[in-house]
Amino acid sequence: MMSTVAFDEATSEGWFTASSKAQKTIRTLLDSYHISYPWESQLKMAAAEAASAVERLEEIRRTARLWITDHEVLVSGTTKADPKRVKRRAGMDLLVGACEGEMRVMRDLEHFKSTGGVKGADQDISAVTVSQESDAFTKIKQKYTGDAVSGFRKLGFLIDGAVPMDGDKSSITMEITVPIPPGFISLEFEAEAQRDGERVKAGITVGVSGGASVGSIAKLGVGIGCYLSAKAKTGADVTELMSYALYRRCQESVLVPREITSPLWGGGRSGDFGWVKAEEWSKGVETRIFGADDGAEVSSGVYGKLTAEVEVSKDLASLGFEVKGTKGTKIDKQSIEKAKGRIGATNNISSGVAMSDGGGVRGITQASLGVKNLGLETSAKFEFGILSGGITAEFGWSQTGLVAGKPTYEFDTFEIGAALAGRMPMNKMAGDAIAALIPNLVGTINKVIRGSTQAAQAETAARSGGAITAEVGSYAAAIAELASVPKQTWQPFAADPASAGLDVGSTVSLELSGSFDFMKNELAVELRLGKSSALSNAVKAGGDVVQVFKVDISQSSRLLKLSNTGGGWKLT
Amino acid sequence: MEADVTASTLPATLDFQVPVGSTVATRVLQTRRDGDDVVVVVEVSQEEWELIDLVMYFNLLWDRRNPGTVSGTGAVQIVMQLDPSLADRIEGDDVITALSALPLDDQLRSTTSWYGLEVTEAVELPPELADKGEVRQGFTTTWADELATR
Repeated sequence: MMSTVAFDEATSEGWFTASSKAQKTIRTLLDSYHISYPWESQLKMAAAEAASAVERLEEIRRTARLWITDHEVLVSGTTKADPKRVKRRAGMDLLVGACEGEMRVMRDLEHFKSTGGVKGADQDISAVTVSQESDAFTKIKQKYTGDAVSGFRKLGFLIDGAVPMDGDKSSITMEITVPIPPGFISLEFEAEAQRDGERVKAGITVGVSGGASVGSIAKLGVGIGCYLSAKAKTGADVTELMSYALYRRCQESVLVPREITSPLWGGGRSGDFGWVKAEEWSKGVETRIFGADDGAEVSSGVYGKLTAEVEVSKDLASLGFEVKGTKGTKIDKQSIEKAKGRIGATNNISSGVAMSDGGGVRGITQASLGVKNLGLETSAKFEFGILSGGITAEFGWSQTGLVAGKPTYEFDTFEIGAALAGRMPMNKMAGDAIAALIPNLVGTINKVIRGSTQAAQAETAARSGGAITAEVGSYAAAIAELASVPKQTWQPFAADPASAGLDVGSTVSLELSGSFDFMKNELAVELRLGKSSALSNAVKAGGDVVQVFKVDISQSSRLLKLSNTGGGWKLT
Repeated sequence: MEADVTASTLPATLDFQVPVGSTVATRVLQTRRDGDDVVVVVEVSQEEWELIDLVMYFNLLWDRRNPGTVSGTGAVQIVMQLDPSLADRIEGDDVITALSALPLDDQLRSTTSWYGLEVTEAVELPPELADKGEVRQGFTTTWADELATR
């Protein structure tokens, strides 16, 4: 078997090239092998020891293969090796061959010790199993398994853990405010995840806002920021799609050189090889995720918003209003196929010409794979003691093409929603609370529906989208049926503090919300049970008390979901 | 035989229960019974009417309403009829006494067991006409015809 010294010589790229983690692991495994199974005493080994030696050799072989795989890329059916690691690659190939030779010797030895001869020994070493992995091998395997697809995938467990069940929703918001009397500047961060049906959706928003107090009861603000959100079947797919979206943003921007993108997405490789590896990774994401799931998508963009907060009654009642405009890009299977013909195909440069598979060209950006979109969200919220709620309206337009160099957009999103939530001491949560919440929520939703319908009837142009139909009234009646559900039916959904396992001091909320998607003619009503924990720190500035730091972590589970697309209610 | 309840027992307050558990407070102005036709005339406050209207209590479905509106700026009067299939649970003609004696969660006091036939509010008259009588505006529903054929 190859010695550690021979391995080092065979794989060294010179003084200025550091050893890889795989090399270090192989050294450890080789040392261990030579100590455990010295060649001079191999003939004295029992059959079981020979079998064990085969497994240790398999670990060394697999480690070498992990390195080899990580330093090559498949382009158009041809495997290309990292040109900057030619000698090391040759040394790894040599090691693999040495391992396989030694494994066959050990197989002969095992057979000889069992039967007294070598004839008929199992020489097939193509699928050797390792019954108990060494720590060193486990660690290096985890490293390469993660890097092979994307380190981002490792973060997927955070999402899966935050929203393990269908209907779960989690969010964390952080706000740092610098008071500059009479104004303020805030840094905002929000991460949220939600599992609905077979898919999980997660998003990150980062922004900055500023504003000023108007008198002692109102606060006006303006903010800008960026967002990144993705939807897929697993948390790992979601995080990898986010990574993919960032990669696409970089490749489509003249501001980001490939010296940054290639190492980040090319497994640490630079130059043409790194560029190709990153490109192959991105095309692999398209095949693995978009190719297998028509509903997978990733969006990124920027937003601007105007906000207003009014304190109607100190520490009791407040109102909030927000108008938010978004501009972004959504990538999904359809957008990729429209942009370059098929999933996983070679990307085009911004002029529309297909790129070479051999390496990127400095200074040339890639054509977009997404659909540009514009959005407008308006919301009004209130808090009154333990009650909170509000209404929202969302409008969206997607780009359909270019006319005389100017983009044309199609109106494709129109959704309204309403929510009413009660925060109560957890041991008081019972059917009585539900009895009070449901009629009020139903009333709020139907009020919005009636107002929208009347507005649409008055405005002929608003009906031309085909979104608002005469059936809206029957949806309102269907919503009203919620109040006809006997209170006994709701009892199982009332919180049970013992089984909920909530910490003392946690805020428990019961929220009933409804939404109507005018484009899909779909109505959905959800009842959620949630808990949230908030941490904040306030200082006195300019005579006012200002919250300079606030973290809010919320989690909620869906107790039930009713949806109606015109064919009756469906309970989830 | 149609029987009106004596004025001495009315108006009377009577709560109805929404199946989900909340209640609707009403003031019963009049009741009458003719066989299986049990009708009550109730008055509700402006706040109660808003929920009755939006959540469609007493089967006041939007698509069952004939043309006409109520502003809801004052008290609203609702004429409503009990589901005829439940009428035999009320013995005699004293409807208000029978209903009041029932527990709130009884089916006869559920908002789903009653069908709104007519919803009106008083129209404010000029002073010179105020003593001439009362004018009401509102709407009727299609339930009257449908219940009659059941």
